[in-house]
Amino acid sequence: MNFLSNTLAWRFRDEILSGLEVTLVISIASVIIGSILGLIIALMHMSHHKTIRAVAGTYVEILRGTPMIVQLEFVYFSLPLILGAILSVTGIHIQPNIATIPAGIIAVSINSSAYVSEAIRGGFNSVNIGQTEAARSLGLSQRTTMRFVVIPQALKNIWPALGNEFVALIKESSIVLIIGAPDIMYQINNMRATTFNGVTPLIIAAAIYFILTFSLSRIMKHFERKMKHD
Amino acid sequence: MTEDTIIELKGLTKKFGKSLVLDHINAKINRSEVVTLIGPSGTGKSTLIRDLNMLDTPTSGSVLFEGQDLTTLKDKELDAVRRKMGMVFQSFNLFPHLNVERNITLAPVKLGLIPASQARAKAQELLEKVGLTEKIDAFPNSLSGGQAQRVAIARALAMNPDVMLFDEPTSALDPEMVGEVLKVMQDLAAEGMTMVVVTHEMGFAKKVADRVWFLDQGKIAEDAKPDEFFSHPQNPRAQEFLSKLLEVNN
Ligand SMILES: Nc1ncnc2c1ncn2[C@@H]1O[C@H](COP(=O)(O)OP(=O)(O)OP(=O)(O)O)[C@@H](O)[C@H]1O
Ligand SMILES: [Mg+2]
Repeated sequence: MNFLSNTLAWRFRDEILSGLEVTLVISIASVIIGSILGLIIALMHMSHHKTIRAVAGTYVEILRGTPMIVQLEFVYFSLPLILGAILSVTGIHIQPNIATIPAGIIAVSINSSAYVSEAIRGGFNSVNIGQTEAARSLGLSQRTTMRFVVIPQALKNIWPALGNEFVALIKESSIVLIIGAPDIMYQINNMRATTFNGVTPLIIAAAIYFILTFSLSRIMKHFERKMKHD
Repeated sequence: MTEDTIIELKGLTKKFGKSLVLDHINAKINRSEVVTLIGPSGTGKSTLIRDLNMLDTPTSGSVLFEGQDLTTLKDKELDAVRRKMGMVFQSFNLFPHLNVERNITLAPVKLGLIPASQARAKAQELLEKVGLTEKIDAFPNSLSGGQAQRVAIARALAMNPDVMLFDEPTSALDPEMVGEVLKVMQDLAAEGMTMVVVTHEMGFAKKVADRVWFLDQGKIAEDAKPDEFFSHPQNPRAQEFLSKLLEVNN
């Protein structure tokens, strides 16, 4: 079995590596875009303007309340159609298309941004209002208070939640195979179909995902400990 | 306004929604005076003291500090005023991610009051005052309540304030730690610090305060010297309040 899995993995090494590359590209891009977007949504959610807060709240609720698969298919199938319809109204008759990997990145990023924004918001809300009051009573400005009192404390709470979200993102990015993005899972499924081996390819997939998520959570924990020491 | 008035309230009014918490309060506090603010729970003692440094914004009226009407100032301008009004909270509100030294020196260093190179010496000097020099490198979560509150007092003093505001500084403490905090406050008063103290410690009010304000129904219902207030309270609700306190303490 061990010998067999080795040879099978070896025989499909190019496919597996290219799948890994696609998974990494989608995951890394989505972590970055999702975090930036999530930060923006979190800031909107904490705004003084009621409408801005409502927009952010609705965005988060919809994304958390609908399946990722619907969001992904919407980006891949529906968005180009809607865009085409809008363009045809303005007199341009082309049917836009979106490639599978960009579609995957968009869908996973947007989905993740909702969870990232909740992690950030939760982190800020967990800092007692008394901290801000104490800092302001000393004459520190709003900005300095944020920078030296609120953010360092919020970050300690945000970081672990963010780590969990990134781990979930790597695992859930495997959903992109349903629109045909050639990620790890896509390659593994091909491998399973061509070899008629229903066990080994999935063990390989599990091992790869585990290594990815385990390394990531180690890295996050390392920085978490560093923050505690400051 | 006389020479030595430091804080003056004119028609100070605060509403939370429909409920009127402070009702056209007029009052003056002189430099070096110690005023204790007492009254039943929920009468607006915290609101009043927080209106003095604009942590809470009054609905109307004015708060004059050293002649300047704080209610007309912008957020940025208030920062400069708040430096001169130290505040001590019931729940200490020390910064948990910073050690004692940094808790004390964060504000004076960031605001350019002292150079970073002298921060430690300044912290040391202030900790001496509150009897905690050995805790300079400790983090807040390792301090007892009484120690934490004394550090909080040192932190406020680091800005060289003209006034110190205390909102029930000993209410969150175990009984055996109340004394050490009151002692520090008493020393401050003896040095001539102007102080406004919300407290349920009647012993402190009797011994240290120059005046007692009894707050009731949005008004300073009684403003008297402590010995007058405690022996012959004029206001019927103050009489009731004091007799209830006596019952509890006996
Ligand atoms: N942010 C707020 N929003 C609405 N109502 C408030 C707010 N802060 C205080 N209140 C109300 O104003 C009244 C006065 O509150 P305050 O905290 O000033 O009383 P207090 O005299 O300090 O009471 P305690 O002895 O319990 O500390 C209370 O009825 C309280 O419920
Ligand atoms: Mg109070």
